[in-house]
Amino acid sequence: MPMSGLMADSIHVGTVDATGSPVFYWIAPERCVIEAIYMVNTTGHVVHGTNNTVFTVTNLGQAGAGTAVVAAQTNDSDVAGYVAITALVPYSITVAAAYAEMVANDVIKIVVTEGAAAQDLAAASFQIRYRRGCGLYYT
Amino acid sequence: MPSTGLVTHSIYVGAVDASDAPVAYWVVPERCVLEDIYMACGTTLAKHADNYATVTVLNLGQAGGGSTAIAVQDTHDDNTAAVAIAAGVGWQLIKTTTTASLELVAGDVLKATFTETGAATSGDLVQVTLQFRFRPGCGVAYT
Repeated sequence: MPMSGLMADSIHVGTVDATGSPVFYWIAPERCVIEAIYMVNTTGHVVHGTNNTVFTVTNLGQAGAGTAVVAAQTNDSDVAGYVAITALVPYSITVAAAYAEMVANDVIKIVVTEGAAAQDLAAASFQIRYRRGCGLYYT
Repeated sequence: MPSTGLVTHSIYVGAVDASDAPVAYWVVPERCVLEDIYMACGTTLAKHADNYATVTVLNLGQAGGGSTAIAVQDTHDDNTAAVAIAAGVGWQLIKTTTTASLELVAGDVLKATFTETGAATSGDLVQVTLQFRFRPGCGVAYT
């Protein structure tokens, strides 16, 4: 089954106090391939070796126990691929292609953590972009 | 016009203190047929005969005065269709069997209400997201 047009589902989560490692969920509505995950908010955070923010997106599967890391990103200068967070600029959370294939009702868990205090976000939204159907791993 | 591909809109609700019967709204963006409503959250609630959570979705229409039942689900052990809530697992609401009620028009407002029966906190949830799945177009009620 070929992939189709791009779909997007945005979730406004508001204030994110990373101290508490807040969690946000999204449910895959049908078999699909996640193409990108973006975050946008009104607070900038420069790249830093200690004072940093980490986004981790895990696929819990349909039973809640999965651990596959679908996407991750950080502004930790000690981690390859790091990117600073700029206010009002979409922040791409890098998707791992091998784990981007979803089936209906897989639950995606987004966790925001911090390396030190004061890495909070404000007026944050996440956007999951996906294409219906399947890709490389379901040919 | 037949219904087309599935479209999904998710709403982050956050913490739910069901004692206050909190509500969340979703505005229908275009004529469509509602296919499913799911919830995901970070709380596990077993089914119980006395202490249980209920989520109810009504269509208020375009003027806010409607009360058409759209979907409902609960953790009431006396309800054979009840399903326990598990953290990180999609929880499906049961749609009305009146399929015409699932035909929505642009600007309809759906109201989701979280309530509890029995002991306080028996319906409390954290990290709640509601997801509305629909197909643009119309179905059997608008042939």
